[in-house]
Amino acid sequence: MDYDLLCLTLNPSLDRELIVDDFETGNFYRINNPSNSTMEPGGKGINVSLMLADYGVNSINMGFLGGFIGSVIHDKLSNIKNVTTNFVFTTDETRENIEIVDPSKKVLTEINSLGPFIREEDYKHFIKRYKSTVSLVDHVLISGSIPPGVPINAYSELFSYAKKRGKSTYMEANGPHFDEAIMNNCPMIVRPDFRKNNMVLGSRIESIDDYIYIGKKIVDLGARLVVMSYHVVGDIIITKDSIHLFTSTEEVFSSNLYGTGDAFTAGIIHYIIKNGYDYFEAAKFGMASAIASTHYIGKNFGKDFELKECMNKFKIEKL
Amino acid sequence: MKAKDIMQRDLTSILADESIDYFIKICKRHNVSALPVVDNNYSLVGYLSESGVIKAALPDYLSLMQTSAFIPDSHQFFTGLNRILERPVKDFMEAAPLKVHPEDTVLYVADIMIKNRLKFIPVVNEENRLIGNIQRISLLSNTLNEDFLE
Repeated sequence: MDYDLLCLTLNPSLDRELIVDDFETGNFYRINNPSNSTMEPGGKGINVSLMLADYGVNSINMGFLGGFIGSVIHDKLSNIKNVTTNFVFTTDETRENIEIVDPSKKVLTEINSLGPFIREEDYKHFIKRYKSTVSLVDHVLISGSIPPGVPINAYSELFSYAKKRGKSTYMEANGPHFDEAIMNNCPMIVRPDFRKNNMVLGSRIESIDDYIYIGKKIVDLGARLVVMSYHVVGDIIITKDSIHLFTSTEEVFSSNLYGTGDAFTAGIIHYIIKNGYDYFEAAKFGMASAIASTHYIGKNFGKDFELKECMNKFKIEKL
Repeated sequence: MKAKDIMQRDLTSILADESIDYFIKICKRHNVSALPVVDNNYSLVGYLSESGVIKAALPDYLSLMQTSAFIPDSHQFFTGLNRILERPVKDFMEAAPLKVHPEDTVLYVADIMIKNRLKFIPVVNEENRLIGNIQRISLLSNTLNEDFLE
């Protein structure tokens, strides 16, 4: 196969990162250093694809793009080594995510817009292209939010198609479309995204018992590995045979947390593509990747030696 | 320099059973003047360009002439275009499309594109699967590059 992975980001974004010291609302700031104002393609699947591209993992990116912002994302992505684009263009404009990083206070402020409305004709065309593209890969990651107009059962249908063809499937998301996929066509590896809400399958996830209950339920529904972010520096890892808590032993600043979830997913996929299906070891590699990514303000997977170092920077407890 | 150095790794394409109407929409939104036509495995099965659609929308006898100066009026063209909008791409595509491979030299690519007046050419792998495309403008802009002829 020419490609290792298909990354679906149905609702990509142009991520604009502004670094502003002592940021407060209501004030006027001028950015004089160009490196303090950057823009790059974003959205969970795209982030994973970009992180893995540096490690020689060849991926195809699919989803919906539109308008001027869509063209900027498309141009930037299709010039990156090991990244292939296959987006469906819509008439509406792609969304922007604005992050204001305040290194002095170590605080991150995020402003996200909704994304374009997807018309039925474009969705049908997307499905045709998706089905053809699945034949080119062994691994399929679907992650992030769905744009308006896309049906709630979209992820479920997309996973159903990939699973029937024997593909390894991965999902990082949250919301009704995530629940629908878990219930009906649960992917192999699941990472609920708790950043915006902590509801999964109708339950609010707060105590450690809630995490264990919902993780085991997702495993019962067919997942081989469930990874759940727990109190910022921890992650609960649930497989068919075990439940573990990984806790970072390194101090982590919230201003550097952007993209750590995607680095975790990228680490798991990287491990599985290179070494095969040892889910617990894959989770350990994911954790090391997530810790390495916190050494950088922006989205970064970390260098090879950092990943090796970070394998010793978290403790593992059996629950 | 080789085709793989200047190609866009993009799989934007259309299936043979999709409509001319949707072909026009994709070209407009992507800002391209032609699209590769692929099957369900991304094998290249055809090629359709704007000029292919224009030719298809004109009465048959006009295609024998070398210039559009013979078109009686543009109304005839738009009526013709409306008539084919719902027809499938396969009815009008070039079924034996010109294509290049990633290891072909840029000079070879330039030769094919210029001789055949192409603005866009598909790049395929050894199994004839689409892996990208080269636009004429990227060929031109790369001539500014020092190692273009190497």
